[in-house]
Amino acid sequence: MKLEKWQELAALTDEASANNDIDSLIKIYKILQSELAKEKTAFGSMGIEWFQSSLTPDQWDSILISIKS
Amino acid sequence: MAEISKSILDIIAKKQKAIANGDDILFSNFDAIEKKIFDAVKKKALQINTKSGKAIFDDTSVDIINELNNVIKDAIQSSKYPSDVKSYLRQFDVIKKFNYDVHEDVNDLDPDELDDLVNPMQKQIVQTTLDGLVGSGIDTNFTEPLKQGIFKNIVAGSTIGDLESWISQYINTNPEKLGQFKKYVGQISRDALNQFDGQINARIADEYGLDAYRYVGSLIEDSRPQCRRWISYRILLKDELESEITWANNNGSGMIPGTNRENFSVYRGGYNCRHEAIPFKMTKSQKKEYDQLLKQRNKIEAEDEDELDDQINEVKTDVIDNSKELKKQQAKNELDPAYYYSSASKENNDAFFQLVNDQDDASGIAKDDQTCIAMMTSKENNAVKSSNVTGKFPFDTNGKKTTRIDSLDSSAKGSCNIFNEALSIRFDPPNDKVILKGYDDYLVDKNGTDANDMQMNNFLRGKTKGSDVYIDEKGIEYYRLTQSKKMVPFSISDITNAVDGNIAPTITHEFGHLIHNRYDPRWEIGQSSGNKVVLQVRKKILDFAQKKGIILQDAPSAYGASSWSEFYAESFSAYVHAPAWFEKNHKKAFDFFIELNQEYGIDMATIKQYK
Repeated sequence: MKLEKWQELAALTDEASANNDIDSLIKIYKILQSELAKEKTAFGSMGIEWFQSSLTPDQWDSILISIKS
Repeated sequence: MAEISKSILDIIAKKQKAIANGDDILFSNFDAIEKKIFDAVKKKALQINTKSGKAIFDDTSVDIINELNNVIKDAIQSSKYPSDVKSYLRQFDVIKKFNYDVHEDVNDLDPDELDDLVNPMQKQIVQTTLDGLVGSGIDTNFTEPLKQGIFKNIVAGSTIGDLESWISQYINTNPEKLGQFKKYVGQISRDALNQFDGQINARIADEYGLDAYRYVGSLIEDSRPQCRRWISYRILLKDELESEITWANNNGSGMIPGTNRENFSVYRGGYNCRHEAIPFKMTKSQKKEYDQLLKQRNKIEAEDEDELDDQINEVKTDVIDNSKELKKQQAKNELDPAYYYSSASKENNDAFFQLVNDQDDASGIAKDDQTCIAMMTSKENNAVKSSNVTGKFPFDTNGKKTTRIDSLDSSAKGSCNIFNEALSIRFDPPNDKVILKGYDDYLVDKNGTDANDMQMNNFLRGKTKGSDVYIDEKGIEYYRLTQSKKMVPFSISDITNAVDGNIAPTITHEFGHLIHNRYDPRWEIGQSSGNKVVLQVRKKILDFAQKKGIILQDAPSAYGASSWSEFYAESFSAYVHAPAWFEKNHKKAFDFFIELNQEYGIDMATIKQYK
């Protein structure tokens, strides 16, 4: 994934997090997971860590619960 | 395009094993070697002169330190280290042999012919490695820092015991830390065999004009991104190496600085890379096949990128739409300042808005009903009809709405009209304030008949009158004995106002009425005996209370027991400003209040509580 795509996702994550827009955060998380699965870029695992750090603990929990269910 | 055969992969695996074995050979006797060096150094160090137990800096200590080069050299020479190094160096031949096998198969190159090319290079690399392992490299990287350390310890006034301990830490390996000699030897041994292998490939590629690399090896969980990428590509053209190295530097990790197309087969994917870049000459048909592969790869990458663009655009649309919707919702759920009059300070007004905006849909209801809200001083309140207060609202001064801002009774702190047309709060600074806080620790319930027995808070002490009320000199009731012989607050807001002048619970109480008016109206329009208006006294709460066996006396305050309207408003205020006290002391009413709101369709999570 190119750097500018990460930057785009970062901006979307910040906005979705500020609005507590869990549905969009889940979609962003899935995109990141999918890119990580392709294993073609070092941003993968870093991207997930960065994503998690951009959310509140409650938002992160909501995403994990949603992914697991 | 022909794939790397299994036999080649087997050879590569064996070669990797041989490289790893190099370390095993070299370190098989290392504990004993370290001990030998340590014992020799320690023995010498103990000859340093001391004074009061501390090593002293004199001619003797300087001589001793200078003799350490020979002491260490002798210790190493008399250990198994030289023979282990000799065994280790044999691995170069093993690696070379495996490498020849690969090139014989892949590039049809004759091992004898390769010997002419590789042997001079091998001789040079082995000599360099030998220097590092047994020659001047040991002096520079191990002995000299040891001497410096001992010197510093002496100058710093260390005892001989401290010095011995430092030497042990420096030389001996322990579970937490490698000894310096082992660390140094390890750095040389690991890189030497690996890079020798790569250098053979580089030399062969250069000599025979090989223009492509097969990137092979297995992937593990933490394989680097560039290695994953190149393994998936299988073939890298020499011409595309620069751009691939740039990609790896930008997107990958662990690349060795200075990696370029000339030394690519030496450094490959970076530090300790266990993959192979085997050079080969592309035939015309292979080139054609590769071009097709490249086209396919580019196509897949372009499709991946398009798919990613689509996904990101979809999320972007969602985020923007949801953001707009949220803003719309927020605007809907915020009190409209046009319907609000207050002569209070900005700080109190801000707190007022925040308090109300956090009470379920109180703001939305007020907005829908165009409720005129006023927070007025007693003076303004008395003059409300003739004053310019009414002119503050977006209605004609003769309009229905404004006339609803009636004067409050002298004892009342607030009121809410049953049709939500007006809501008034008395606010007399400097005593009155709007503070967003909880009062769990201030409210007290007490069983018993004598108010004087109550262990009330300091602010109430000395204000007791009579046996069934708790009242101050102005006649304001704070606690009252209920029929069930329980002393309870007269109202939540009277207590909080007495504590610190806070009228937030009064505001919450009045907005409780406003919410209640929406979900369970006191009046309903209907037909009965020719009258247009039929009195329906909060039918839902009445029915539900009956169903649940709740009576007015269960209310959390004496005032709450006066009617079902006040029961709800007092419960609302208690739920917001003293939730723990409410639940602990009036559990029945607390549970009822929650269930009742669920009946009304109110989500309790939308009501902010102050604890």
